[in-house]
Amino acid sequence: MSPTPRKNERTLQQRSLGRQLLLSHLSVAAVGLAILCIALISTFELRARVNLLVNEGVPLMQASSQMLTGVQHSLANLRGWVSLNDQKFLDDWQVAWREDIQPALALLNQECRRVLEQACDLQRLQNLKALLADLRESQWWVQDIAHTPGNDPARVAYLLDVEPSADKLNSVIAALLQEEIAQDGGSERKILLARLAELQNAFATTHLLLREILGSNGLNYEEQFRQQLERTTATVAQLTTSPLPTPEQSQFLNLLRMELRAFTQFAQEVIRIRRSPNWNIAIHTLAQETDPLANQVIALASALAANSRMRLEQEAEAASAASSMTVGNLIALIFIMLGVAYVLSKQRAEFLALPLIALSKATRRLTNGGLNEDIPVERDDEIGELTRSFNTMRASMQQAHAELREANVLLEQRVSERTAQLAATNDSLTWEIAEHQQTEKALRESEARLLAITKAIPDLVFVVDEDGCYREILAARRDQIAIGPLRGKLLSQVHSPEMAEFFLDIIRRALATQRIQIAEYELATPSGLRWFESRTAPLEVQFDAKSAAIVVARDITQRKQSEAQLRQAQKMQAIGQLTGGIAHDFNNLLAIIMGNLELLHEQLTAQPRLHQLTQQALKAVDRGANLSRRLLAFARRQPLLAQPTDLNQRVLGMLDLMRRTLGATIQIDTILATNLEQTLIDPDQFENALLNLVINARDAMPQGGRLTLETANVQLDADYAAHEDVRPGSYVMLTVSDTGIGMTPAVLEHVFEPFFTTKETGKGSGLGLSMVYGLVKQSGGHITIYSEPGQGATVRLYLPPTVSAATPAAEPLPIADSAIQGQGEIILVVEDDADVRLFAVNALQGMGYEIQQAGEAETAIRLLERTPRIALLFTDIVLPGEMDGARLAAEAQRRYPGLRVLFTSGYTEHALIGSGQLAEGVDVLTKPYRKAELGKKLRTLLERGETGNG
Amino acid sequence: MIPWRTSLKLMFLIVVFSASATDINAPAIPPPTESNAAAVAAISRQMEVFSRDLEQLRLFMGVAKVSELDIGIRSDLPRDLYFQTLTLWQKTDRLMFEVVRTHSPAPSVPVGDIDMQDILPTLQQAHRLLRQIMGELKLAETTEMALVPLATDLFTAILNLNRQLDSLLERHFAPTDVYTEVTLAVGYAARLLAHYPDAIRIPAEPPFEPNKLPSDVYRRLIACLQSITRLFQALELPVLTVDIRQIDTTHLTPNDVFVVASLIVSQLDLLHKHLGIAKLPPQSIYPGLKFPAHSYQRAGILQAQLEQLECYASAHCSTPSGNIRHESDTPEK
Repeated sequence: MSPTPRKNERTLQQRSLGRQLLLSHLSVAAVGLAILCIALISTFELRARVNLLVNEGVPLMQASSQMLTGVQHSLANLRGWVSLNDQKFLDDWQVAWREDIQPALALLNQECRRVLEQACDLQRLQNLKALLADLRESQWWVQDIAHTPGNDPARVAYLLDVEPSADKLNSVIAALLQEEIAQDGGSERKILLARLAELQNAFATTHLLLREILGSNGLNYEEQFRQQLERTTATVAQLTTSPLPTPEQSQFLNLLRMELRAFTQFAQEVIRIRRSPNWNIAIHTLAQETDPLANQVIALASALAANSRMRLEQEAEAASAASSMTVGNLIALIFIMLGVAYVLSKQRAEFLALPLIALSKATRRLTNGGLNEDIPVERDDEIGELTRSFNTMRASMQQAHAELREANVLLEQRVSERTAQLAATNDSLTWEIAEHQQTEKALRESEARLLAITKAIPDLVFVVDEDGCYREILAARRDQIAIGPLRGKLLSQVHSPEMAEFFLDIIRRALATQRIQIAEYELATPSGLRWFESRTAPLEVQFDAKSAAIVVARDITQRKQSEAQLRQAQKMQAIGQLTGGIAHDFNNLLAIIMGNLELLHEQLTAQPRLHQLTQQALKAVDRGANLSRRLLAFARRQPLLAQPTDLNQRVLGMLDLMRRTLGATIQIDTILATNLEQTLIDPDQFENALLNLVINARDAMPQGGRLTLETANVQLDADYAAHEDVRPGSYVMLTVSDTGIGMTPAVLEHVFEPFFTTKETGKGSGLGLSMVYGLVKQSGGHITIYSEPGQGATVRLYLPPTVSAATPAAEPLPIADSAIQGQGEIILVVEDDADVRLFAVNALQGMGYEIQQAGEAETAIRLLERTPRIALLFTDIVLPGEMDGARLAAEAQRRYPGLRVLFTSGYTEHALIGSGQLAEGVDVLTKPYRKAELGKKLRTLLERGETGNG
Repeated sequence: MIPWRTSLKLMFLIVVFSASATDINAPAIPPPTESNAAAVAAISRQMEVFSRDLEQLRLFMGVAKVSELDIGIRSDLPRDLYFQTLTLWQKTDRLMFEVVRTHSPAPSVPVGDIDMQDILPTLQQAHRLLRQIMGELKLAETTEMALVPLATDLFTAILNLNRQLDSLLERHFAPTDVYTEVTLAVGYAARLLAHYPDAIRIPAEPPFEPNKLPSDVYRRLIACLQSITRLFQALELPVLTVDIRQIDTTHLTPNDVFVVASLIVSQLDLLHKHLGIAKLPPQSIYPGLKFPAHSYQRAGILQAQLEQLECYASAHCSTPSGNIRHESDTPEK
């Protein structure tokens, strides 16, 4: 068999099988296409009808309805305008035309023209347009005339004809009356005057009634008007025939008669018009013209709407029918298509399936190893070709199978060798992986520890490279310092150029020296200025071939603040010690000067000039003593007689004094707590302190203002105490606020320092606030001052509360100056300063006491031993040697119980006085003292001893 | 291709106005017949007598003589003469009411076209009222005063008589009368526009502009009259002439403005009759306080109506209602 005929035969066979398959598919496709065509035609038909419905019927119906609504609105609003004269109705009337009727008409016009004879009658539309134009015109005239006088023709006739006539009649009647009054005749003429008055009234009533007729119910007055007109006419007739009128009056009466005749004619005309149905043109036109026109428009529009509706219904029915038919057709065709497809498919399937089944069986045999038999070739089409190919494939497979078996044996050998190699490699890898996992575990643990450390430490820890770039942020206290994301940023992007350069310099130094660099600096952070202490250490690792350092920065702001407070406290302490020491020496000096001056003063009474000079000198010494006391107060060295004190009572008790001090231009407000706790303080010193504060406030308010005194129980918590030099706990607070000029921060910094003042020279000692400060601190309290320039100042004293009740201090019995004389009692004076001792001895001798004196304690003990009659020991607290005044007194009282002791001192830096609070039963006379003070104190002690003994 | 709406309009105009034009032409330009000449002579004679008696009455009443004022309008058409004669009668009747307190029945308006023969009876009626007034005032007819031949044409002469008579009135022709007359003209124009389905018969009223003078109203009404003139010329109808280039408008009174308004009414009435419109425009009266500004505002409506009419009369009118406008100032100075 030659290849060419074989090829042609094969092609022919292929065509045969392809044709059969093509035929079956084409027949199915043809049926489907037929269904699609029918569905398409039906859909177009439906679409056309729905379009017709949507595009024609609906707009036409809408337009007709809108037209009807618009016309009804326009009529309603026009009636409202005619009846109520409210401009809103007129506006709405225009709106009805503009927004309802005209758009509806335009829509009708457009739709009708589009569909023309199908749903809309053009002639009917033209009629509608013409009617609408008539209606609009008619309505326009109604609205135009409705509220003009011309709307009421009777009123027009009245205005144009009756009113001029009535005016003339009134003027003639008035002239007649005037003329009659001018006659001044006898009683006869009074009849004429009465008649004329009657005529005037009658005509006025007539005129009034005629005007009433013009109203809406005016015709009710017609009969009354006629009767009144007759009365008026009769009165005129009577007057005309009367002999009383003068010739001039007769002329007036003629004129009156003629005018009344005209008036009557015009009035009748007015009534005639008023009675006519169109007496109100607007209402008449509405009823006669506008309403019928509107009714016609409504009828036409309704007809259009009805027509449209009918058309819509017809189209809807047609659409429904078309839809039903389409569905029926489609169902039938689908069944036909299914039948045809089934028959054709079945034939083709059988034709193709039988040889394929034979092939399938052969294939299964081939699978089971039956490679020895060929399948007989029975057909010459594609199936026959497939069978031949199958046989060829079977032969090839048989040969390949044999080769495969040989190759398989060889392959198994190679696999065994390779498996052995892989097992060895696998063991090696397993060991390496175990090593690697162990290393990773160690690394993770190390990282966890580092992370825990960085979390635990309160510092900022970060890594910065030599170029100033943040590489790692290991710990960042964002809660307190509020730093933003830093990684990858440069120092210069985060900090000011100066600070960035500063940090970079530290890092570079650390890298260059390979040593830790420590630095302190203040840094602006989003939460404000804060102090940091940084430790910068070089890192051995590199980042992108760049050296880097780790920086641990600690926020030391609180420490800095504490240091500043400590410094301030130490400063104040130092100043206190300094001033206390000075005051002590100063007091000793003053004591000498004062004592000697006093003695001199007594002896110079005979020389007035010298006596006066000593008096002035004594005053100066007093001032010096006062100054010294205030210095001691600041230095917390003044002896205090602390007792439970009610601050409210003290404040209220001082109000009069404060008012006098402050003057009329300053108002005092008090806000005193009702349940204020008591505080332990020397009340006299407290009053002195309060007065100082009030004076300061006064000086801060030269133009007047308001001073507020407030007391309260407050609680200072630990947070507050951490920032201030105070212990946390309960306190009694006194606030003194003024509305004065205030203070700058620079002034505030030094305000408690002694001799610091902003007042003019000579006006302030600069010791007021320092004395208050000392008193409060000495009393275990706390003081704050807040002020801003121009905003006044507020001073708050926090004093410790006490639970014991306030007891009024026992006032010592007053002792007159004349009763300070001694009665020969022996006084032992112990004073290390010879000059002071000399003054004391002289003064006491002058007062009649017998004196023993000593410069130190040991001599005093010996004197006590020698002179048991000593009634009182008067000793300086500070004495040289091992035994001071207190110990001396204790020893003396131990040996001689009942011995009275009076201490004296320049300041209170002694255990006897403690922190300034005098121990119970201890009497102290502070230096410098006057002779009289010494005398009184001695007499008090001696008399107390006698009373106690007795 | 002409749009169907335009062609409809053109057809309508041709039918209406061609018929009207042929009707108007015959009586409007009367042939110089003997009867017409006699009528003119009779009218002229009657005017002379009226003028003489009016002068006598003026002297009796002590009213200053009013100077003659040219308002820039000329006409020899019977309808214009008739309407001015009717105005003369109205004023005489008003004067009679003021003096005698009576009114006289208004003369009957001729049915159909007005010709010269219709003028004389109205003039005579007015004269009779004048005589009645004189009788009331005991003012005997004098023959001492000679008749003065008319120095002007009939139209100007009757305008002058009107002007002089107005000066004798206690209640002069005021802006309210002008307003009433302009409103009447608006009614006429609306009736005419009713023939055109797309027309806006009564356009929106222009905004009220205060501080207007009679001269402002005069100018706007003259613009309306010029519009009518063009309309008549387009239809080849005889019409009065308007030339106000030399007119001094400073001395114009509401009476003079009323003359112009009444002339507009007369022109529109002619069209109205010849179009066979049965429905008369509403004739309202607007007594009370009206200012020239009100008349000016209302004349704005009239102007817009006439522009529509003019547009419809032209062959190339497209949507005239869309071009409706109101001159905020007088169109011609």
